[in-house]
Amino acid sequence: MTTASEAPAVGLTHQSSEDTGLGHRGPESKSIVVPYGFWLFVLSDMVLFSALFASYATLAHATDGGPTSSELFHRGLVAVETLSLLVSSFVCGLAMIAAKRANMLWTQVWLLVTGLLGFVFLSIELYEFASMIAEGAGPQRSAFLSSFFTLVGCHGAHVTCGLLWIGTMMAQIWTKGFQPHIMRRLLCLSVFWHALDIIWVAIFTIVYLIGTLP
Amino acid sequence: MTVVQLLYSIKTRDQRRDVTGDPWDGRTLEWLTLSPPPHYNFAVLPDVHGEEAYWTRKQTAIKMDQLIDEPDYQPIEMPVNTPTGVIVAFFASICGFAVIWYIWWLAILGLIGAFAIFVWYAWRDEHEHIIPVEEVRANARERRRIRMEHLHTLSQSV
Repeated sequence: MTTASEAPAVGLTHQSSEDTGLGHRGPESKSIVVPYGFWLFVLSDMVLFSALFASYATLAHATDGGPTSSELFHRGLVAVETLSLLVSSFVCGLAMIAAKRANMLWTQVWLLVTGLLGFVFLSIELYEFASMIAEGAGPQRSAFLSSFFTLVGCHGAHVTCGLLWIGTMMAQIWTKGFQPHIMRRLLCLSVFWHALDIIWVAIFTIVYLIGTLP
Repeated sequence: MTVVQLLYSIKTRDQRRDVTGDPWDGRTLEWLTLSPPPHYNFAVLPDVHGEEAYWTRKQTAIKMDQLIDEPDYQPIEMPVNTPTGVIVAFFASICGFAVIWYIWWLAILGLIGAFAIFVWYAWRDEHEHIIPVEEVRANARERRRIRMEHLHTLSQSV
């Protein structure tokens, strides 16, 4: 049995510093149970997105005589969007490494950069939405656009929540330090952020790349 | 008719109340705990062998005229009760309603409410409380006493 004075256990390790109080027959420690529960949430979120992807794929050509995907999407803008989100995911990994080493300054810096890159992504997305609506290509125009705004907007709403979460975590790390429960939350945040990245890669491929094929 | 049944049940509820936790001579583990069960449910995780874990255990106890040896009770860690989920759901519903009807100020209000409650919850330092081993042991001994009486009743009724 390990003692509580050791460094906070992060990640999927069985050498946990927490005892569930039920001996070897009890449930797994929190450093196992909490990320497991969060993975279940992420997987259920993936199911939600699968449904949105399916409806988009079905309705992608139902433009009702309105603008089509190749007329609306600009690969250059989306490339910048994708790049900022991918780099933000990488920087999130750096923040996790800094947090494991209990380095306050770099954890905060990397989390801030993660959030800023996420904000850049979100700003470009909102700009894209606004200019599409201004062109008369809003969600009410056609079934294609309804499903587009639902799918991409749902991802954008997730990123917005992620940004709020990043800000909250920065404040929590600042005031409470690298306590085990804070580290577990940070781990969940990083799982969430990477999951959003994976979903974006699918959106980028299915909506933007395939949609702008010549 | 249903109303009469309901009223009669309410009127005679005290003489019908089950105190054994096993009113139907059950076969599975949910009948092993007390009625009403303690909020941590089992004092120790029961060993499960086979589908009808409680039935085997009960028949052995009746045959031997004693329960299994008293296990080594440990303090139990339980999460602190919190209304956070319900309150966040309340604000989230307001937000969802407002978005559907384009009431933007209300949507923002709902979002801020949900987020504020979430942060308030996240800032607590106490997330679990420990039920002391004395309390666990006392409850468990009381349960074993009731269980033993109940087994006697059962074995005589066979």
